[in-house]
Amino acid sequence: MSQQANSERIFRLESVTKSYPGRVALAPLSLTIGAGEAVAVAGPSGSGKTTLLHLMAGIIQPSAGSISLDGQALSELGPGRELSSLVGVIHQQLDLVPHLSVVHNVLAGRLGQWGLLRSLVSLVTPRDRHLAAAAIERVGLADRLFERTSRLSGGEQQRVAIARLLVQDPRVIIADEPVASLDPARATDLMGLLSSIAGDTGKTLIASLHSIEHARDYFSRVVGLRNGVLLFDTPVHELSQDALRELYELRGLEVDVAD
Amino acid sequence: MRCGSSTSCVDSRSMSLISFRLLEGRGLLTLLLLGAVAWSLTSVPWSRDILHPGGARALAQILGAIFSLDLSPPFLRLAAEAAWTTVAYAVAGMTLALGLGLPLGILSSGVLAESRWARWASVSGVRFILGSLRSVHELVWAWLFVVAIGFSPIAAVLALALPYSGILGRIFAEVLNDVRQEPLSSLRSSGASELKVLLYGRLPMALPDMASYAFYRFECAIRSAAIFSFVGIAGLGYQIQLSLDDLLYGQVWTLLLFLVGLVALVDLWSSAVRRRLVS
Repeated sequence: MSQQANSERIFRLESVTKSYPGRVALAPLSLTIGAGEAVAVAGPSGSGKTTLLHLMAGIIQPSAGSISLDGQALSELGPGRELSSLVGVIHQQLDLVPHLSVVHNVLAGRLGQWGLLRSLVSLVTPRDRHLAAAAIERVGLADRLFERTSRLSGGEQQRVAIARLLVQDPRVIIADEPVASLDPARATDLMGLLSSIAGDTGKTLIASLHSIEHARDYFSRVVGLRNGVLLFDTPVHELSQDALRELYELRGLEVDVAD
Repeated sequence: MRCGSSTSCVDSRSMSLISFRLLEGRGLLTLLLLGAVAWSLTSVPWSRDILHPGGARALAQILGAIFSLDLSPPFLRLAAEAAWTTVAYAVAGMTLALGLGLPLGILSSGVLAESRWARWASVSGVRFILGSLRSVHELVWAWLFVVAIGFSPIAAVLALALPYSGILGRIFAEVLNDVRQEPLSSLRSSGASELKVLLYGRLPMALPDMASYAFYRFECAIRSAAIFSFVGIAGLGYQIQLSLDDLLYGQVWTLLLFLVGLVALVDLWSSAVRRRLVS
């Protein structure tokens, strides 16, 4: 999946940092990502993975440095239509409104494009129904379109969240631990679905992962983060055991043992 | 808790001293209050008439009348009509209160405000309006409206609608603010404005709580509408007053049973609706 990895740059981060009072979440970090690439962000809990992804999605603003997306400064992009046509986000879970039926949760991906009246009317009689139907069929839940979302299992709800992304149709999908709350079999299933959808539609996929196995199977490049510092940035087939050991090594524990 | 350094050790000791003092103070206050209650009992004239002369007999008559309900068809028709009037006032008042309370509640929740200043202005401004509406009891409103427009149903409906919109608005604002945040931020990253986030996220998630609270308030509205007779407005309360004046306790009990029946019906209806909203 290393198609034209460097031909067009979709993301360019230059010396981006994020600090909170009394804590540096992300040390100065520079990174470029090509259009259509599949990049896994790996690292132990608290390493700054979510911070990095939220910065790239424009959910939080960097303390210093600049992020450009498709040649434009991310901070200049207006929220709503402009940003949502470039970046779509999927989280670990809880992305959906459980009280609405599946079709409305899927069509929420159109809210950036729709006007207010259309959004309101759609709650009564769903608009762009063909889009929702196609998306929900692609994720394998064709017969559940009009069911109440809360009736679906966790894995099914994540599929609905992917269907929403399909309808939103952004150029980049940012996935923050998309499979962390699922059992191993379903996690592999869902990761495969996400990766094949991104591949089929030529979207850039950037995902943070706990399991390095998923990174090997579905991604072309791995970025390793530890304590907010970029440890490595390498093609997945060049990923060494040493690099992994350094990434996940329990330094804090060793200190405690020696103490 | 171990002490890492000498200063934190001192701190934790003085902290526990303060919390001990607080505890001691609270216990002392409880004792004082209990003492005040006990002392106040001594000022009740136990030996003399708590009930007025003949009061006990009247009470026995009232209680005994429960076995001689007035179930004659003409009176039942009268009671049903009175109950219908009371329900009509409550329904109309609640409808108006919902229409007024929902937009006010949304504004006072501040969820639509774009800037911090706009949020402050809308929250504090609308809160003041809601508070003013609430702080005057529906009976007082009824009194004012009867003076202004006479014994018309409109007086009863407005008297219910104003304070109830204040109450509903206050609760709706809290419920809208308390919904889970993750689905909302996810809607935002799909490009939804705050108004669309309200439509697709906040309102659907808040609806079950809002509905069950509105039903509870509807129950209260029926009770309130029933006592509007105090200011001369027709309904169940008015009939109760007439029957009491004629010492027809059997009729009073019949009317009270109608009131209980109404509240029970609303309760059944509300739990049916809530079950459908939640499942």
